[in-house]
Amino acid sequence: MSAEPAIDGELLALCDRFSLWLRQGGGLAVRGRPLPGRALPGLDFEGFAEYAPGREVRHVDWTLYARTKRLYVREFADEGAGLLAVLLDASGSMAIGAPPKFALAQRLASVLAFAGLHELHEVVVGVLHAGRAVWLPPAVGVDRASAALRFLGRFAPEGATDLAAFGDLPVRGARGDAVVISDFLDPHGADRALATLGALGFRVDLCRISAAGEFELPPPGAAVRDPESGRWRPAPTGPARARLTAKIEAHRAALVDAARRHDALLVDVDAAEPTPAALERLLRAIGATRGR
Amino acid sequence: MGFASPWALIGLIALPLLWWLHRRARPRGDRVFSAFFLVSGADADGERGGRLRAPWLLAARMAAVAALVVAAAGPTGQSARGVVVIATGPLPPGDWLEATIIRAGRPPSVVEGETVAPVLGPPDLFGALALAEAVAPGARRVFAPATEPPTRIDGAGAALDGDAVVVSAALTRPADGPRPRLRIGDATRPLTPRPGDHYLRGALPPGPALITLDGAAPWPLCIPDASPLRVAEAGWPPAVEAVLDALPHVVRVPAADAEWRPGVELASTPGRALFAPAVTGFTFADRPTREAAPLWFAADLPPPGAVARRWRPLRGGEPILHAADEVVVDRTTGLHGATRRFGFDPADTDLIETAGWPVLWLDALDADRSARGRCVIHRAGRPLRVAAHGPVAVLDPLGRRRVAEPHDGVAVIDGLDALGHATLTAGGVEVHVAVVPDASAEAIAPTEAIGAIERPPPPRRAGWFIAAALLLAAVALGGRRALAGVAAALAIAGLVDVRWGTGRADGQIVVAVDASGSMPAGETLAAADRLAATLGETARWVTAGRDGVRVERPRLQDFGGPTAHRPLLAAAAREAGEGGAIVLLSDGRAPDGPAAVGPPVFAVPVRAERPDARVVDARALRLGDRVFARATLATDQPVAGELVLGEARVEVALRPDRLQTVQAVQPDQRASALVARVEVAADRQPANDSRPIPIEGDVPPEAVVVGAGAASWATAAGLVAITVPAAHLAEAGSRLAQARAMWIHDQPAGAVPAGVAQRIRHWVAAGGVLVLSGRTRAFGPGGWRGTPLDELSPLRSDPRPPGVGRVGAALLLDRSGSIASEAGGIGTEGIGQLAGAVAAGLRPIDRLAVLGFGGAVEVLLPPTALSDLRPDALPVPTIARGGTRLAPALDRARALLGPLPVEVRVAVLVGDGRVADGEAAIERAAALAAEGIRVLAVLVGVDPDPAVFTALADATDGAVVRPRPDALRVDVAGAVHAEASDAEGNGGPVAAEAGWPGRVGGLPPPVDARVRVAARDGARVLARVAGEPLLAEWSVGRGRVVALATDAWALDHEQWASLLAPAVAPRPREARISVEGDRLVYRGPPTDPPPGALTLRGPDGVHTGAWRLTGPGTAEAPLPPGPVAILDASAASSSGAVLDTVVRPPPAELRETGVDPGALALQAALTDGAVLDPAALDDPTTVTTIRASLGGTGGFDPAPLAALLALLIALADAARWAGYRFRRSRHS
Repeated sequence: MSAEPAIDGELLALCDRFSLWLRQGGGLAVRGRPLPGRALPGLDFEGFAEYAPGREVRHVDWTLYARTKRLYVREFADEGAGLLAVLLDASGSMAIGAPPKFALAQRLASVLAFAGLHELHEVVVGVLHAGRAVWLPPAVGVDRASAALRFLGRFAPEGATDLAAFGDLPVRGARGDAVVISDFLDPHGADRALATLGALGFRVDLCRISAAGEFELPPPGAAVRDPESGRWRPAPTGPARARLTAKIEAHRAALVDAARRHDALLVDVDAAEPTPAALERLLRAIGATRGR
Repeated sequence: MGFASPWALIGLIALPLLWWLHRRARPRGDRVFSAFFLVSGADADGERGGRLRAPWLLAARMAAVAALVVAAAGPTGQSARGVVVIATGPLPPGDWLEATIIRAGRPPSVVEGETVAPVLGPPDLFGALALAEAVAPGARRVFAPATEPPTRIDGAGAALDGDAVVVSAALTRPADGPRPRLRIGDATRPLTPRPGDHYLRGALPPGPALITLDGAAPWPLCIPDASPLRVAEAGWPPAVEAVLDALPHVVRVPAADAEWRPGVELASTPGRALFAPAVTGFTFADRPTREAAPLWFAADLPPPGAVARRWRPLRGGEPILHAADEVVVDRTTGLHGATRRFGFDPADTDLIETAGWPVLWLDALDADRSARGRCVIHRAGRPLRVAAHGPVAVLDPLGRRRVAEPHDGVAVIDGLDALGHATLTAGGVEVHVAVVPDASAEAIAPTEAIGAIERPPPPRRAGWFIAAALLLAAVALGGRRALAGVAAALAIAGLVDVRWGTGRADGQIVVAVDASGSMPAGETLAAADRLAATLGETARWVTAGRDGVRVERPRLQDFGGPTAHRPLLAAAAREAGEGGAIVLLSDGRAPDGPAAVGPPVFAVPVRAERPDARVVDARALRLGDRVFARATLATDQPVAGELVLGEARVEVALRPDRLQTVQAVQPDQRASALVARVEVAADRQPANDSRPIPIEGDVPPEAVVVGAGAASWATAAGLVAITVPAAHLAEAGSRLAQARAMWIHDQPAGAVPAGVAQRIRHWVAAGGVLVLSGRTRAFGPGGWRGTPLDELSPLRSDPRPPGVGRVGAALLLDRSGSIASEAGGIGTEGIGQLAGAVAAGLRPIDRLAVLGFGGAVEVLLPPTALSDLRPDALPVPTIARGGTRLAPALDRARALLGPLPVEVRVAVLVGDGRVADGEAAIERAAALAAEGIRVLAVLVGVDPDPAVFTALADATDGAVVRPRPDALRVDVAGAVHAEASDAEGNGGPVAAEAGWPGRVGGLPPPVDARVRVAARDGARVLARVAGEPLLAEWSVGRGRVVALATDAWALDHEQWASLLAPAVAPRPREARISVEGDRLVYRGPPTDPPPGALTLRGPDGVHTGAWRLTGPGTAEAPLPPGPVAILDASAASSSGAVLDTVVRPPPAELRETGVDPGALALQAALTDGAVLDPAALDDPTTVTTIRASLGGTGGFDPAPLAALLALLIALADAARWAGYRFRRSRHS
C-alpha cells in the first residue's frame, strides 16, 4: 500500500451524479439491521434475538424472560439506514485487460460506497489484496466518503484471488447487503465465499468483470504467466488448448450456478465498458432484484 | 586430486542453482493469463527436461561455473579426502579407497592406490603427520602400523669363498613352500635347502642380484667379484713381495692395470666413495718418528705379538693396526680410490715374521676383492653419505627419482627405506645400493619424528581460469550480456600470479634445542637464555629430550634420552613454516642426521665446560696366575686423571684427538670380571666412565706335559699341567683334545710313537700350541732327526748346515761268541738294531761302512752314502767262535775312512770290550787320532769291560756309551749324532732377537746348558746363544710350535706366560659372537648354515631372540637395551654351541660425547644455513645473519577470490537472464 492518493475529480463527479440518480430512483435498496450496542437503530419491530453481551439491555423482553427464563431482546429494523458491504477484488488477475479490469471495478466500488454513505447507510469497504482482505472500518455519513474513496484508491492489483477472505467482515450479528466486484477467477470457486457471506446475514450481489481476450492462449512455444504468482507454464498446445478453454467455460458457468444456489445477483460487466453504463446496468439490476 | 583451497568447492552449489534458473526462466513471448490456475501441469508441453530453457547456454554457464570453482579451489594433483591413513607397510584389511594414504617413510609420501611398500627403517611419523596436514587439512588421521613382515625372506647375503661366491638366504617359514632362487639379470638359479637356510656356491657374475620367492618381495644382495685381484707386479717392499707371492686369488699385472698399486696415495674424502674406481694404493712410511712400540690389531685378527721398531702415527683413516696408542696402518677412501697406509717400513718390524702379517694381507685382499662390484649393502632408514663432486641421480627401490646435490663433497641421500635395489648415478658411473632391513632398528621404538616433508605441489589454476574466461566470453558475446563479460574479465584477472602481502611479513625463527643425554644441561640452558635475550619474545622453541619433542623452551628436567635430530628438526620446521629459520643447539652427535628440512638450519655447537672422559673399550685375559687387562679411553677435552683397571690404578693424560690405551697386569684374584673405570675431576657424564670386563680364559687352559722337567714351566705360564708319561701318550688322546698346549720335554724320538706324532700334528694345525724342549734326550741327542717331531719343530735337530760337516762312519761290530744271545750278549738282532741306530744318527750325505771283527776282520759294507742304504736292512755279521782281535779292525777302519771326502770321521765300536789284543788296539789310537778319526765305543753285553774301549775313546776325543737295553736305538743314535755333529752346546748369555719384546719381554736370563740346533727356514728365532738359536717358534695351521733347545733356563712367570700366550688366549674359533654398536653380530665360516636361536643371559634375566641372516655364515640380532652389563650370549651352530661373553655398552648417546663439528657443518650446509659461533650469540650480527635468511610468509593469494567473484557475477547474469530483476514490490 502506498500513501493516500488524491481523489480523482472525475470520480467525484461520477459519484455525485450516480448518488443523485439513485436517490431520485428511491435510493439504494439496502437492508437495515441494528448493530450491536447501537441505540435506536430503528423503530420497526422485527423479532427477538437471544441476548448477547453488548446488546441494549433496555430491549430485553422481560415478559418473555418470565415465561422462558431466557433473555431475549427485541430487534428493530430501520428501513432508512441499512448496512452495505462493498467488497472489491484487487488480486493480480484484476490487472489484466485494456483498460484493466481493476480500473472499472475500482470506480464501481467507489460509487457504491459513496452512495451508501450519502444515504446514511452504514458502509463497510473491503479490498482483497495480496491474498488477504483489507478493511475500512464501518462508517456512516457523507463526511466519511472521501476516506472511503481514498482507501479504495490506494490499491493496485496484486496477489492471489481468495474470495473466502471476505468472510472476515469486521461486523457481526448484522444483516445487510454485500456487493462483490471481482473477476471471480478464484481457483477455489465462489461457493465458499457466498456461503460465508450468507451465513453472516448478507444478501450478496456479484459484479463479474471480464476483459476482452483475457482467456486467449498465446501461440505454442510461448508461455502463459500467472498474474498473481508470477509463475509460468508453457502455453498448452494441441488438445490441451481445447481442454483449457472448456475448463474456463466450466469455471464461469460454475459461478452462475453458485449465484443461483445462493440467491445472489450476478451481473457481468466488460472491463472496456464505459463506467456510467456499467454502473447504471449494475444498479438497475440490483434495484430490480430488490423490487424497486 | 587435492586442492589448495578446498573450501572453495562449496561454489559447486551454483550448478543446481543455474539449472533451477534455466528451468525458471520465462520464455520469450509469454502472456499473462488470468485463468492460469486452470492450466494444469498435464496441459504443459513435455516433461521437466523439456522445459529447460537454452540448454546449450546452460551447459556453457555450468562449465564456466565449474571451471571457476575448480580454479578457486586450486587443484594440486594430490588427493584431499576425509580420512588420512598413515601407514608403515601394507594396510590391514579394510576399505581404504576413499582415504588419503601417506607412507611414513623418509621422506613421507602420498601413496597412489592401496599398495604401501613396507618402511624398513624407523618410520617418520612426525613428518607424515605434517604432510597429512598439508594435503588434507582437518582430515581425520588413522595410524595403520604394518602387521606383516616386509617379505617371507628373513635375510640373505653373499660372500667370497675362495674363487667362488656363496649365497645364503633364510626364510621366515622355511619348512614348506617353494625354494628361493637367485636372480642375476634375467637368469635365475635355485638355492639348495639345508637346515636353517638355502644356499648356493659357485662362480657368479658380480653386481646386484635378488633372492626371489614366489609370493614374497625379493631380497636385494650384492654378488662380490670373485675374480683374482690384479696386483702390480713390481715396486713392493721385499716382505710384501714375499707375502703377495703366497696369497691366493692374486694375479700380477703391470702397475697401470693393477687394482693394488704400491707407492700411490690417493686423496681421501668424507663419505662413502661409491663412485671411485676399484683401485687401492699402498704407502709405506719413509719418515719414521717414533721408537719401538708393540703392535695390536684393531679388529679381531690373530694377536701378532710383534713390535714396530721405527714408525710414525697416521691420522684420519679407518684404523687397522695400532702401535701403542696410535694408528700405524689404516685405510682411507676418496673419489679416485682407496689407500692403505703403513706407518712403517716392513723391514722395521718383526710383524712380518708372525702369522699376523699374511693374515693382514689376506684380510685386505678379501675386503678389496669383495668391494669391486659397484654394489653396496645399505641398512634402511639411515641417510647414506656419498662422496661426490656433482649431482647424484637417485632411483630408489620404490621407483622414485630425485637428484641429491653434494655439499662440501658429500651428497646425503635420504629416503632409502624400502626393500630393494636403489641406483645412484654420478659422472656416468652407476652404483647399486641394496637396501636391507636394519636389525638394530627393531630394538628402537618408532619415534615420532623425522625427515624432510614433501611439500604439496602448487595449485594449477591457469587452465581452469582460461576455460572459464572463454566460456563466459562466449556467453557474453552470444547474448550481449555485460555481466558475463565482467565475469570473463575477472577470470582473466585470476591468471595474474600475484600474492597480496608477499615480503611484508618475515618467517618465524625457531630455536631447536637438543636436550638429549649427551648434552651439557647447564651450558645448553645458558646458551638458550642468551639466544632468548638476543632473539626476543618472537622466537619459538622446540625441545627434544627425555619426553620426546615439545614445543617449549628447555627445562633442566628435559635432559636425557637419545639424540634424534630428525624429529626435532621436523617439529622445528613445522613451527618455522614457510620462510622461517631454525637455530639448532646441539653437539651434532645424532645417529639419524643430517635431516633435510626446508628452513635453513643455523647450528650452534654447545660445548661443555666440564670434560667427559669415558671407557671406549676394554679387554682382559687370564694368563696363568696373572690377568692382563687393556682399556681404551677417550675424552672430549684434555684432562688428566686415573684409570682404575681391576686392582691397578694408572695415571692417564687424555686428549680429545686420540684414543689412549692402557694395559695393566695384576695377580689373578679368580674373579670372572673386573671393572675399568676412568676417574677425572668434574667429569660431567659418569654413566660412561666405567665398564665391566669379562676376563677371557676364565677356565685355566690345560697343558699335557710329557717329561717331568717342564711341568713347573707350564704351571708358571698359567697352564694346568697334566703330566702324562710318555708310555701312556697313546692313551691320552682325549686329554690332548681338551688341552690348549702340549709340552714334550727332553723326550727321545722313540718316546712318541709315529701315530701319536701324527695326531699331535693335526691337533696343532687345529689351533693347539706345542712346546718342544730338552737337551740331552731331545732334538739331535734324542734321535729326532727325520722323525715327525723333528718336522714339527722350528729348530732342526742337526745343527749342521745342509751339505756341511759330512760324516764318514765305520761301524765295527763284535762278532765274537760273547755277543751271542746264548752267551748273554745282544745277539744278531740287537746288532742289527744297533746298526740301524747308528745309521739313524747320520744324514743322507754321510757315508757308512760296516765291519765285523772277531778272529779276523770282515768288511760287510764298504763306505756307502746313507742315501743309498736302507737303515733297517744293514748287513750284520754272523756270530763266530774264537777270540776277538780289535786292532786289525781298527786298522781296516782307518784304511776305509781315511780316503773318504768327509769332514768328520767316526769309528763306532760295538762290543762287550773284551778283546784279545787290547794293548795292540790301544796303540792304534794315535794313528786313528792322526787321521781325525774319533772312536765312539758302545758297550753292550751282560758284563762288558770298558777299559780298552774307554782308552780308545779318550785317546781319540771320542766317547763311550752304554745304552739302556730298552732304549738301545735312541741312545746309540743320539751318541752317534753327538759325535757326528758336536751337538752339545755351551751355556752362556742369551741374546734377545727382534721378536723377543713382543713375545716374551723382559731381559733374557743366561742359559746353563743347551743342545745345538739350527733354525728352519720360516722359523722366528726369539733368542740365541753364541749366535745359535735357542728359542724359536712358527705357525702350523692355526696353531703354533715353540721349540726350546735347553732344559736349564730360568724364565720368570710373566715371561713364560707371554711365551705361551697363544695357548692361554681364547681358543681360535670358527664362530664368534660380538657386539657392534646396538647389534649382536655372529660370524662363522661362510659355508656354514646360519646359527640357531639366540640366548642372552644377564643381570636382568634371560632374553631369547632370533638371528637375522646377513650373509653366508653371518647373522645379526638387536641387542636389547639396558644398563651396561656383562651378558652371556649363546647360539647353536653346525659345529656345536657358540658361547661368548659380551658387554652391553652404554647407549649410543653416551658412547660418543663432545661436539662433532663436521656433523653440524653438514647439517647447516645441507639446508643452506651456517654454523654460528657459540661465543657470539649475544652479537647482533648473529641475529642479522639469521634474519637475513628469513623469507616472506607468502601473503594472500587473490586467485580464489577472483574466481568466486566471477562465479557470483555469472550467477547474477543467469538470474537476470531468467527474468529476475531483484526489485521489491511497489506494494509490499
